[in-house]
Amino acid sequence: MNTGWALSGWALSALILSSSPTFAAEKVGTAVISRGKVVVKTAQGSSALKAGSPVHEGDYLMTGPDGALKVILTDQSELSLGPDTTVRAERGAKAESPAAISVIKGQFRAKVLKDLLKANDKGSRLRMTIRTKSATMGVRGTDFSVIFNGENQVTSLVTFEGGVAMVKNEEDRPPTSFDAVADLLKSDQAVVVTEGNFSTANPASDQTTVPTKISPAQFEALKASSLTAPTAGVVPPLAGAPFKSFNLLPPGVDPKSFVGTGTSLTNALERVVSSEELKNAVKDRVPSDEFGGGKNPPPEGFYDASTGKSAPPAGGFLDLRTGIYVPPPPGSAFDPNTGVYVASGTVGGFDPKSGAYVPPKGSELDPIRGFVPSKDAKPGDALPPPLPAIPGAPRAPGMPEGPGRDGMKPPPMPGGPLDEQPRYPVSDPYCPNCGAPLPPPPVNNGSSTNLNVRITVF
Amino acid sequence: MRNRSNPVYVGLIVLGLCLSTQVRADSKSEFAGIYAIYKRGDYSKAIESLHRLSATQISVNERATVSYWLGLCQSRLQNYPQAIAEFRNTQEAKASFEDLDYELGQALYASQDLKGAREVFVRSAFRGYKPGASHYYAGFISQTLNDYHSAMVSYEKIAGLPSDLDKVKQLARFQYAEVQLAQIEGLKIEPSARKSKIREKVIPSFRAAADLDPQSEVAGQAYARIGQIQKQMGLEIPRMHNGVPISEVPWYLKFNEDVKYDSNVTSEANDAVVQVTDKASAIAKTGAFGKYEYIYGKRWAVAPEMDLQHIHHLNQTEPTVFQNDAFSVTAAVRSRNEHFLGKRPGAFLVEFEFNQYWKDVLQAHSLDFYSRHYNLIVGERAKLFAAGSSTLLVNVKLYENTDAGQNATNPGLSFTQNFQLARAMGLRTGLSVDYNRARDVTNDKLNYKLSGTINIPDVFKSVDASAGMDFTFVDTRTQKATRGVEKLIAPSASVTWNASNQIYASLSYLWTKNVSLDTATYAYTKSIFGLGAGYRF
Repeated sequence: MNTGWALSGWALSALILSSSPTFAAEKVGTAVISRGKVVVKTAQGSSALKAGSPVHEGDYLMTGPDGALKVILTDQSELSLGPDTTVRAERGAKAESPAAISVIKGQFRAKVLKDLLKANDKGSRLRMTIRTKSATMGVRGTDFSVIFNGENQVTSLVTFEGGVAMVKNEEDRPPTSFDAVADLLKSDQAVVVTEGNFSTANPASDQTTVPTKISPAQFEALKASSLTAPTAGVVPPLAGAPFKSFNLLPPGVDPKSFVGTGTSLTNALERVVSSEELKNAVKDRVPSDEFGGGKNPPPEGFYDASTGKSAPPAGGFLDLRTGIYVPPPPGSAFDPNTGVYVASGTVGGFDPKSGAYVPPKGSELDPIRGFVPSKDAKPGDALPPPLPAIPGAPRAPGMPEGPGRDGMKPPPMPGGPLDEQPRYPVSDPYCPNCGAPLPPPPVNNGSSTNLNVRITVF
Repeated sequence: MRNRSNPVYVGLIVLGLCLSTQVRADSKSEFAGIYAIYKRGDYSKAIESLHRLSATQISVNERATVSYWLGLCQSRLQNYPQAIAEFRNTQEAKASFEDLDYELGQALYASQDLKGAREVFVRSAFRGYKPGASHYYAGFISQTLNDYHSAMVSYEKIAGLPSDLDKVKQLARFQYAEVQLAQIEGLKIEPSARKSKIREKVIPSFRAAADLDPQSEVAGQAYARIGQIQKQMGLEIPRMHNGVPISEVPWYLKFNEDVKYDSNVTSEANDAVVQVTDKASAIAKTGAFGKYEYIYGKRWAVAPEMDLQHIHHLNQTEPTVFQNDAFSVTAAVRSRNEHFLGKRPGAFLVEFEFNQYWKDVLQAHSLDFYSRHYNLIVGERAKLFAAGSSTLLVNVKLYENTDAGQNATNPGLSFTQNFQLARAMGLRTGLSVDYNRARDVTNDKLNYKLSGTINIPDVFKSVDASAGMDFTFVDTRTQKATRGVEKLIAPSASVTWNASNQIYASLSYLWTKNVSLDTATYAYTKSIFGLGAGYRF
């Protein structure tokens, strides 16, 4: 599917709707940074969008592969668009309703000022709604990023501060008004994605995933980065010389019982700083439990067949380009300090400057096919474990438990010292402690032009 | 020498103390701040901050803490060479962190310095930090380096650790089996000998690993591994159509020689009339047993068998003792139809036995015909419970004796239940009743028997043990007025040393007490000590 500058059927439909005679082109913000190819498409035509130019309701904002854009909305919210992104500014924030953004493709980051949030907090706490083809989000808090990939139709959300409510769009009854959006976001299906967590919505699954912690190190790098920085969108190779290493753990062991407890550090620090001071320091700087925090799913991930809710194993990497979450592979070590798994190098890493996910050498992440050999792949370059069809799904529904399962692989013989570490024998590459998965359901390849979300101005 | 009381110097000292206190206070707040960064997992930033802190004036202990902390951060970022360098710095500072060796070992392992990692893990285990995991790392590394002996030593150490490490124990047992397999595969021996070793050592080892927690994932892998190895080595067990295994060798032959000491010789239990001698004797028992099993269409098994026993009392001076010298021949055909009972395997049993008994009844140091019996047995064996098989048998025995008054028709009913216990132990329990309906009604008896035997394989290396207890109640029918209901209790124990697949030796003890109203004739107590050896083909 061509995802370049050609608009999808959905976007075109939206454009038709937006060009109706009743549309009022009210100013919703001003471009403050415009770098590379940045175009605004209105009912009257397309033109380059320069810094200082106004942005109106109904405008399509498009960045090229080298483009970046920052818009200050009329309510002082910041909207940053990464490379190769198209969004539509549906309306600016008003006293009675929030700003509304539709993401056609790509990634954007928004910051809503806290004091403004309080000042406008009349009735509803929503300050901004964001819709993609596969998900609807309502912003309560201040800093977050949304990625929507037009090819795999995956929407991923990561929250840097505060909380963002997210719900999977119902295919037949998309929200058509702000009230409908608000109702949908209050439903049981909605999740609140808090600081440090991510959630994803995929056309092949009924619900968004339960918010899960991504790699804390990648999270911090993403949080500190800017989509409008010159390096945004550039994915450098993994830093450092190629270093062949084993997984930290021998295959098949329980990561939690083999991990160092780290109590020695706390004991040593308590000799320098009192335990009270340490507690206070952590209290001040570690994300609070607000917005449903402290209710994180188990780090191994889970799937509840009765409710359909699922969460992938925590500690993986989020690819901002494809929206795909790369979970920690089998054999990953558990970090008791952060409560997540430390994804081993077999699935890649991230660029410490931009936070961008970097696939392992010789592979790249395709939005539909998952890991595929890269153009510079050499014979012998091993691909990471295949990704689940539902990105982020911890295991396929109905996965059998217990001994004597059919098709269970035997444990590995240890390889030679210079061999690549054999992976954990059993099975599910998406759950370090899970057993063999069943084949996942097929992915919607995104070729359908059905409209899942109707664009409505309210 | 300058005057130390000079106000300028005093001022400088006070200023120095203030600055020192200031540095101290700064470092404290720095430590707390870095701790907050560390706790949220921002290890790169924590490393930057720690490097900044180490460039300031901090104490030796604080510097060691910084090195150790840097090592932790680098390790979490999978920068193992840097982590190793920091942990080494901490070691050089002689700082004491209980998990330093373990963390260093993990970083060395991950960076493939396996020998270095093993050395450190052994030290970590010795110092008592995560002994299960430390030994496991050491074992796994040795296994990876093909140092099988060291691997086995490490895995064996895990077996002796407390029970809260059961998960690690099971993994270690599993890997122990893998090491055994690798060792045997490396031996330059005949393929048949290799097969035999794998069957006798490796397969039981995997089973033992599975038995530690049969519901665990590791147990599932152990079962899968057994199947894989059996297929690979051609050790797959042929089975009847309902899944019951078929013996690899259809025949069985055994010779045995037992020497026993009986403190109170009594006539054999087969006799309708028990005679107590109150005399002791050593007894030599020589036996031979053979059978051959024919399988038809994986549904029927027919096994003719023959059992020969010669009993010789070494006390040849006391007629009431040596009159029990005997020779017994039992020929039988045992057949079974294997089928399904529900979803579980079952077998319909039809057996016929013939026994003839020669005895020194004339106390003339010669063996003469004494008795014979024909026994027809019909029954069903089924696996009603997952715990083990159950067998219900009905039989009719026709008994003929030189004393026609003892001739009898003997119907009986028995139920046996086996229980498969942990560690391959087996418990066999039985309940039986039979009625001895003799031609001379004074010999009529109704016997009830309750028995239980537990078998414990590999108590020690190649040594099996068993212990049993029998209770028999004998309703003496027409003699009830004088003998009452006799009660016989017989606990026993034995150990068998399997010197090889063929040769075994055993040691046994049986104590028997029969309680009867007729204390002069029928009540007795005896002990039998036995020493035996045998050869199985």
